[in-house]
Amino acid sequence: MSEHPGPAPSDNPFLMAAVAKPREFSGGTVSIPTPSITEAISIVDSFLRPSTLPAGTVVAIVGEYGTGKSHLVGAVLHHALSVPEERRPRVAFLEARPATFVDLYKQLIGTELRRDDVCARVRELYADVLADALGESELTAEIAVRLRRGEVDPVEVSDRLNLMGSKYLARLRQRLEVVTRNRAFGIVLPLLLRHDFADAAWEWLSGHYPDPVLVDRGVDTPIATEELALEAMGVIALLYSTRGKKFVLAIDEMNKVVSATRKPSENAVDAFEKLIKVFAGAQALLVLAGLPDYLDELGGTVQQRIGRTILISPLNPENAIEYIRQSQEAIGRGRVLHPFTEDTVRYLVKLTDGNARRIIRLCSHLYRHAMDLSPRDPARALVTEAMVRKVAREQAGARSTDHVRNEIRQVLAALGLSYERDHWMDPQTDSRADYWVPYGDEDGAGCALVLIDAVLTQGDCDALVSRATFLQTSAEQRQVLLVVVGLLNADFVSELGEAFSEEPISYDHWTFTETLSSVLERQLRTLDRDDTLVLGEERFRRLGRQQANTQRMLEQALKTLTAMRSSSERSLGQIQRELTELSTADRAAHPGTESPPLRLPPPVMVLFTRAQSFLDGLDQVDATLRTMFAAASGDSANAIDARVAVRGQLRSPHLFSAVGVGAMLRTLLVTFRDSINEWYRSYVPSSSGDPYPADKDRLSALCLAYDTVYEYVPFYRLEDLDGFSPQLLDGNVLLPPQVGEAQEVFNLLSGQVQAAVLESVAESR
Amino acid sequence: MNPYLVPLGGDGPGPLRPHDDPTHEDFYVPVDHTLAAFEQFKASIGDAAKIRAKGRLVVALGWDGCGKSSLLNRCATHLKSVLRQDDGQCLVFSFTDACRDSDSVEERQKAVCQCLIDELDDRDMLTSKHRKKLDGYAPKLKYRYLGNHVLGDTAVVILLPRIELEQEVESYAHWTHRNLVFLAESRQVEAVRAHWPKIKSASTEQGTVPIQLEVGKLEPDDGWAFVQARNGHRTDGVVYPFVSKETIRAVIAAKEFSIGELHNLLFRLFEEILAERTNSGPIGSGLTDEVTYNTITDFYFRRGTT
Repeated sequence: MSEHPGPAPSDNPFLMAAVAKPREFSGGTVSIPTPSITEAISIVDSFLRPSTLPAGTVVAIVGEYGTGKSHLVGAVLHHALSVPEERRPRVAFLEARPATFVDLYKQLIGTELRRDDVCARVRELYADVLADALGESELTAEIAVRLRRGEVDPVEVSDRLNLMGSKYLARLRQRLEVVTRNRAFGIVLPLLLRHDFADAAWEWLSGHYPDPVLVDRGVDTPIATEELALEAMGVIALLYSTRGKKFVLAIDEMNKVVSATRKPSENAVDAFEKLIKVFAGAQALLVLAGLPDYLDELGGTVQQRIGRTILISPLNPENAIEYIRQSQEAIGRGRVLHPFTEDTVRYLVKLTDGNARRIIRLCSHLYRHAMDLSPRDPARALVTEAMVRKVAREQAGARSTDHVRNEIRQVLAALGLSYERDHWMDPQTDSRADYWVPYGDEDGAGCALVLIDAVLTQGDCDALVSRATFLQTSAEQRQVLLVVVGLLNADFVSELGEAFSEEPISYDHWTFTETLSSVLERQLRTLDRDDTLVLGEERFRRLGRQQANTQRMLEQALKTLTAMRSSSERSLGQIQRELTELSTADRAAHPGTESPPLRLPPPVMVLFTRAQSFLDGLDQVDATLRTMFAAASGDSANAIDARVAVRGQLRSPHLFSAVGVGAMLRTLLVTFRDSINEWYRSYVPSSSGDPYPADKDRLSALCLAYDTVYEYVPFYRLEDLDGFSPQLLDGNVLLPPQVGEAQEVFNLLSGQVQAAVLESVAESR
Repeated sequence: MNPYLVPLGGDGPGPLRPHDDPTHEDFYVPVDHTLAAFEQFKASIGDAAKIRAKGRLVVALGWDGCGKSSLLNRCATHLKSVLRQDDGQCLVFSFTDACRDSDSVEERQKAVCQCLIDELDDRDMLTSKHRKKLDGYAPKLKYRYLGNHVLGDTAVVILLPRIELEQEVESYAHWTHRNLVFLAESRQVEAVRAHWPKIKSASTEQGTVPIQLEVGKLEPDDGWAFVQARNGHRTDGVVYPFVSKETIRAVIAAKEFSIGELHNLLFRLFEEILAERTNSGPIGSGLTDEVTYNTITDFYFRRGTT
């Protein structure tokens, strides 16, 4: 026996991407017979069973992201194609991108079913027409047999024997009209068999405007509306399910065509209902897969007509164990569970809530991690629960909380909400909101958003519960929301739901902004309500929550305060050290030097100047104080008025925060400008005149740095400076500050600067 | 020579064109209602004065190979003789290949009209004033202008390209005018039949009545009449394989045949037989073998499937 080297321990049996592609499903694909898969396969078997009665049906597969919908579609299609050839259906698979039914139809006709394919189908029907005519005569009976078997081409037979071709093409047209129940297709499809007309016919079938020769024949509308596209898909199903043949059409990611944000028109829903009827009444199977909301949006009537709805079941520990064994077997390692244990797999399933994609991804990371820890002795590699937690946390971090923060910022901006980053309700407690959205009339009212990478242990959960409680302690009108970027142990969902205003929002790339937006709107509406009864209920609920957590809070508070003190001291020490180092380094590097002269080109400089002038328009503290001092050296009555006016403004407790924000923005602007100036000084043009990629990256990093700091600046606070103006001292009328406009300038600054810099460099070539 | 090579000198079977070659007139065989249709045409077309005054639309209907083109060519020849009886002029133009089936109706109509103008121009019948006028007109006005101001005592017979759409036939009914006779053929028998009231109404508006001629499949004795006629035309003295009346009747009875299909079948069969003879021995050496029903069946199968 020859010795083949077995798989190396570094061969990871688990795919990092864990994204199923139905087209790539094969006999070698690892697939676990979950209840969903078993049910779907039995439907396919029933559909493919020989029958003269219409066996058509529609199956809807629904499930959340990563639950295995595409895998199931792949399994269905593969199963349908695995039956013996005489029973094998024609299978078409469409992958819905963010698209319309028209795009789907164009994918079906042209990409999935090519011209030759459709022509061949029409040719088969023409062969039947001709065979019917020739089969009645002994002179031509044998030709008819060959036509039916597909051994001879009907068009060639007709030409070679000088048959009355136009008569039989007219019969074909009638037959196609009956088969497709569509006059236009009845006219166009036979033209595919006529050399001179085939291009025009195919163009129309592919969704283009009809050629004049088709318009002459009464086909004057392109397949360009949702209704026509759906009708056309039904026609294709009928065309492919005649002559004892069967047709399977699967559409994955239906939610990219129909969802809460892509609502179908009433006409499209009606047309979809007709499409379902067509499939049900033919030898055709329609498989629809997607997130649950596509079904919701298609409405009750469509849902009733769908033959079977398969809700994807989460993987249970036994499924996951079997998956791991099969995956290892698939790369030649045998049906082993190692380096996993049954207990770690159970823990894994619990953490991921049985989500297939998350399980597979984690398995991939865990496998690599375990092997990396025992490079010399892979047999001793072991995945432990602690390792699962560690890897899960790392993966949550890797998912980039920056990206999530960016999405949160987008949602808040879209809702027109002002916010503060890292806002402490009470500096003495663990009451930090990652995002604080002030809202409503009551002092301290608003919505706090807490962002956490993962919730895996009871300790994680306890910390969040006490944080929620602290966040809600000092105000009646306050909602608290939790966003979990990574894994959330299903055991803690309920507890966290009680502690926070709602159940935690698990971050999902596809749905997060939509979900957060609707949750925020709902919670802010609660704060808006003037209804005493509703408010009373809300307060009662809040009290209940607080009481339920009081005991835990007290325990946690003590721990947290201690930890905070220690942490703060550490942080302070760290900051002091870093400041000292920076100051020392700066002095050492530039002894006695001034800032380098500005060498920004005018288009870039003007952006900074504009931002500066907007800021000057809002923050006139300097000018006001100078005016006050100027007045002090003149007429005493004016001097008194000026002092009184300034002092009056200083009574507002918000003024100082506003001045701080102004100062921060000035510093940010100047340092950003200087850093860009420095970039100009240091970048090296390549031989083509363009900056080298490294310089471009450096420019992007500078702009990102600006964005990152700017994001934390509560710009809206500058509104509190509206009374602090030299005009006030002159007794003039005050113009309202243009905070919104100024904010827009600062919002766009980095992007505009980056573009202007690159443009200026290009122009200087 | 293959006795079924008609018209003579061509590559194979094709429509007879007596207006081009008067000898073709002798090859017409009274099969599949063509003679009756021709007689109907002669009876309906009327005298020269009437044709010149109002023009006419003649439409021949029948499936592929039923003899529509040959019939209309014969009609054109007849019109030529009728229209010359009163010392007037008659021009016959065949524009059957002026355009393709797959051109749009508008393109087809423009092509036919332009062909007519070019033909008249070639005969120096158009002045620069005529051309200028014609340039700005749509087909209907072009035909009207030609009929009224250009043709004078010359009648024009136009053999149109094969028409697929009934609306196109109707448009020629609208454009019928003095000195203009349109001869149209279509394989869309049922569609044109169904549309005939509109075609008739359009012609009536022009003061004429359209003539509808129909040709169809072969009747039981038509096949034998055709074979006899072609045998009678043989002048080469060659002894060809014998085909019996019973054989031909049996073939015609076996399935629906058009004259074109039978003509083609016999022509190809004899081509094969003659090629074999050329290889095995000189033609005219007293060969007397028979073309049986089985010979035809075998040939038909081979022709259809290889």
